[in-house]
Amino acid sequence: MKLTRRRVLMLGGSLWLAAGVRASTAAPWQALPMLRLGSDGRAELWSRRVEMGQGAHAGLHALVCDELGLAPVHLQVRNAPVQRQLAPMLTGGSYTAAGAERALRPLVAGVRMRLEHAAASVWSVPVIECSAHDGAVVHEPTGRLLPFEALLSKAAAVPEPDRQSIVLRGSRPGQTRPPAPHARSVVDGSARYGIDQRAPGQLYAVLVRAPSLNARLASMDAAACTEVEGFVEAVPLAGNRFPTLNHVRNRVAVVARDSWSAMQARQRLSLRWHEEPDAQALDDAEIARVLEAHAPWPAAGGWRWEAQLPAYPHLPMEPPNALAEPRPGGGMRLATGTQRQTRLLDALEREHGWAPGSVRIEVPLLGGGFGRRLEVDYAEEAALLARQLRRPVQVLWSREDDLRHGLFRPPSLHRIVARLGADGRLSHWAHACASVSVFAQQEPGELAADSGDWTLRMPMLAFPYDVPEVNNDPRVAPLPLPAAWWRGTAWTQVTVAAEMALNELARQHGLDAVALRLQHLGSTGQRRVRHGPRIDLLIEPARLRHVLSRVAAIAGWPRARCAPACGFYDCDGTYVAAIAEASADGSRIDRLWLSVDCGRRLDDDIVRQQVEGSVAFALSALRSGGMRWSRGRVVQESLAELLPLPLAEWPQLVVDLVDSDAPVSGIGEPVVPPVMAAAASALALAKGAS
Amino acid sequence: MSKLSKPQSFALTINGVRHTVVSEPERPLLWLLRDQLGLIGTKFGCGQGVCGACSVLLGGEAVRSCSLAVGAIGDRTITTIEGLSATAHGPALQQAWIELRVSQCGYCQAGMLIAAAALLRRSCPQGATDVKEGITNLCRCGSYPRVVRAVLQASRTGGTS
Repeated sequence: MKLTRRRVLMLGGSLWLAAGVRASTAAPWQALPMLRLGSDGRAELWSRRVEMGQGAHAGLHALVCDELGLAPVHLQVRNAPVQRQLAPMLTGGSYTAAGAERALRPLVAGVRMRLEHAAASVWSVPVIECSAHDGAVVHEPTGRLLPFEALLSKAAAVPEPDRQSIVLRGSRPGQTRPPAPHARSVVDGSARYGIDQRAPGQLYAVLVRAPSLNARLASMDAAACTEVEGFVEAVPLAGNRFPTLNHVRNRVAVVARDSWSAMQARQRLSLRWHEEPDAQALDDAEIARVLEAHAPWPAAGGWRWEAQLPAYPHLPMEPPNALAEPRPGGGMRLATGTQRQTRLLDALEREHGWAPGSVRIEVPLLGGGFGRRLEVDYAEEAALLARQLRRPVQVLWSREDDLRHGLFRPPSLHRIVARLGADGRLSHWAHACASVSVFAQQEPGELAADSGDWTLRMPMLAFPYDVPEVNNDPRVAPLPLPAAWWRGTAWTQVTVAAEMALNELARQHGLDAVALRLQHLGSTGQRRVRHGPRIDLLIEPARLRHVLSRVAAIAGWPRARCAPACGFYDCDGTYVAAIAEASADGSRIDRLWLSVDCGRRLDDDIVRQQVEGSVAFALSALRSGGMRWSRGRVVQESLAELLPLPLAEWPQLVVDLVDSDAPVSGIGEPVVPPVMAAAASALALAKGAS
Repeated sequence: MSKLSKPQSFALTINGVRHTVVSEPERPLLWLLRDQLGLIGTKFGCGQGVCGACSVLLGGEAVRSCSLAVGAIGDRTITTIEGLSATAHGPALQQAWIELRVSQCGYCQAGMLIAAAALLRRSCPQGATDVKEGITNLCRCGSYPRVVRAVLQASRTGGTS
């Protein structure tokens, strides 16, 4: 009886046909530094990139299963241990999928090829007749199969194929993927985030931090704290001076035996601070003044438009927190949701004196990131406090702390000058902007070398429209305002401003906002944009033209109270067009249409999830009105004052995913800027009309 | 600043299990659950009663446990996310949540599921509007359209009585 693969599988899974092959070795095969194949048929992938709901692990899971020929249930993706050799460990840039396509897929293909070679040599058949599927190598002509676990040592002995001989299998589009690994634990309450980490004998702390930048503690009276049964002690700790990398404020840690006791004791702590006089000068008027002073109008004459875009908070649902547990010999174990493991390791080793190898960082599931968890401040606070106390302690930020002491998407001022010819074509486009610079705060010393903030310049250079004269003038505004990467980064400032300006230009000149854009988007060709050491973009205007045409058709453009916006995003190349429809009173967005081209997709449903998430994120920001400052302090003190989009206001959403053969490109951030721009323009239209 | 009351003994029924706890009456249930009882499924999101991540069922209705003092519970039964599968609509909701891939980061979803269970207990939503008006929990990841679909699916597949 010929045993076909199908018949074998019907007999119950991965049956090992022992024809001449000895029992498999018990040792697993570390097929790649990040991929281990076990002798039980299970595989483990280490990811340097963390899961925070954006589907990073699901995308990697899909890629590896497809390329290796592994059944989904047999692969587990875990966060890689935090080690210097794996640097840089960072999650951002919407780059997990695209980066893995380039770097990981060929390596996994090589592993598959070695398994196929190993089986071929066992059977003495041509390797071309052997193919890996569902965790086994099958000899197609005869249906014989050997599970991976029977081939581990033989495959390990096959030399790695060189780059030119790698054959990529790729991922078929439109596959149904399994639920995310954490899906079940989320619905039964067993999911463990940073805030849920525990250590034996741990304490809990909330902190009172300098009320304005660089304020110093003048006096402390903790007498009333003892009214709280669980209070342990109040510990003053010095921070470093803003602006500095990894700024940590001067603070007092209120330590207790449980979270609520710490919060209650904190309310009873009496502190006086020496504030720096110029720190108190920071307020909304000062922000506007400094932005204005650093964004001179472009010299050329023409139609003018300006807008100040506010600072925005990240507001991950899980407030910042970290658990630090001292280890014998002066080491430290840190359990915290972080998107930037290497930065944290560097801070602890290079700034705070921990010996290399003595810090162990564990990253659980993150309750949202959006860029807030690229900052290591809260983890530093926990480590330093634990070292001081010589006891494990969780530092917990309340939501008020998150607002009061947050780092934000910067505010910026944009001034745009445009000239339209008689033929309705743009002859000139000049965009000047001043923004607080995240780059300057995060990479001090790199700003001068790079001649300005390249992260502000890049979206300007990526202006996709065909205009003969384009001038860009991005400038850094020197404001003492803690800034961080926010979902969409400078594209949510520069691209949003440009798209809003285009809409307003169209409106004032009686032009159709979609037609105006189409007029300036070529139907062929690519544009390579290079500037300095960090900017290297490939833009294909035809793809933007395509999504814009599609979204206009789907939405039935033109429509009242509607505005379009386009967005290119470098991750490596995602193209989005949006049309937003405002309610009659201009108070909310009622409907949204989106067309998205992110190249080939690993998981259609994850892409849709990220589109939905980006819509919520963009509309929430607009709805909040942005952060305000007074006397050196953030004005908003509670979530109610910055209320994210509620379920009741979720718009009707139509999402068109373009089928594309272009390389895999990211989706976490690209939809945010066009939705912000289309929504802002639509709301302005509706308010103006009403 | 008012003085806290001295800790007292309270008997609470949580997920069908009787617990005797010692706590200040003012302590919010959220923190009793998380720090004293190790029931970490109920999450802290704002502590101000706004986001709903801390939602539990109190006698079958959804309440924000960050704003519910231990001393105010009396003998009403408490159901947390850990006990959701034992409720009438829990299993159908959990199944729908997984099938429709509702969660992204998942942090708000314990509270969201509790709110959904409370909604299905008190009404039979007919469409998206009923769900949108019946759940006020916040999500930062944008799971809203899937929450709506999952609640409607669970409503159709029905609960156990």
